Amino acid sequence: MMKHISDVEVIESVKKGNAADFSILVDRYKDKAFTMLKRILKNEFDAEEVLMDAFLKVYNNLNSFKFESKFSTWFYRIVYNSALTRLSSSKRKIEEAMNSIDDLTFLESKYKADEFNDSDVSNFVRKIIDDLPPKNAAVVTMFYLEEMNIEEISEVLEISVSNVKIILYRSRGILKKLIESRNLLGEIL
Amino acid sequence: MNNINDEILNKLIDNEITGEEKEVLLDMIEGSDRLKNRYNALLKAHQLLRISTAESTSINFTKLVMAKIHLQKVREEKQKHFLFGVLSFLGLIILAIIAFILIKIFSVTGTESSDLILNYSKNVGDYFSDLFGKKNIAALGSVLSLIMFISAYFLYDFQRKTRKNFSH
Repeated sequence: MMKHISDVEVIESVKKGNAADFSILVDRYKDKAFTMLKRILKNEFDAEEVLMDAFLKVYNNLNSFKFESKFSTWFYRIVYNSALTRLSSSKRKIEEAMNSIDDLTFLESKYKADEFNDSDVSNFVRKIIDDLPPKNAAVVTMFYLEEMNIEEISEVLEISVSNVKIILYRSRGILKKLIESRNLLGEIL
Repeated sequence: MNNINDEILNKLIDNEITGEEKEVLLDMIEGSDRLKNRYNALLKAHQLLRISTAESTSINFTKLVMAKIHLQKVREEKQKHFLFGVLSFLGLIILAIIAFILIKIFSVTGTESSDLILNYSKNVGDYFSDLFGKKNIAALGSVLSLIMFISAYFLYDFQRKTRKNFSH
């Protein structure tokens, strides 16, 4: 059986000069980080480009990583900040703010119950997550996909724990209201 | 019963309440169809989010990242070599000047040597006085500026080429 190498071991190896070992970290984090970026940037091409830049930043700054926090926390902070930089440079932030999912009617009109069937539950959820504002998308991805706890997420986003909870609850609430208002509970169950 | 808001239900889902509170809440949920529906919808939303899966990057993504890292290292090495080359060249010129002066000094002996040093010092002093005098300063400034412009162009061109290689 292959031994699982921890993030710390990989980083120490890369710091010693084994640059090729960095690919272990890339393979380990690329899909989840890509999913988060795609949800934030709403664009596959941008997501991959930003992720590539983020990995380069991580590699170049690996010596400044002092193991004071988990590598994943440090890594996602770089990824999230890179996404914000891209958003602000492409002015999408403004557009996203205008399309805020906090306006439930926007989502309700977009996802009609009659468009939904049992076979595409994951598709339905994915579409809703894809429409979440950047911060909500980041919180949902880190909480559910990366299984990070609230404290770690607050460290990544540099916001308070209570704010992370509010964002998480609101994101859940959006989906919950859709399930309730369209009477989808029976169909999904 | 109406004061059971979504925040409390969320805390129940995330296990952020005590065992006692949980028991009371679950009893209340069992006792009210409306509350039960709200809780079930929220729980279902939580479960749906939990089963959402990650999407994949392009197949050769890792290879691309590693290739970029490699290119970046090559670029840094090139820059190092370039700087080392320029500094070595300047160093060699300085060494050659020092060596030339020392040879001149040691090729003559005794009082001749001290006379020679004095003469050289005087000559060098006069040379620089002429060079930075009113007549030559403008011409010298122009020549130096031209050299700086040419050097800057080559440096910029070198940087541009390496950056272009790096981005592919």
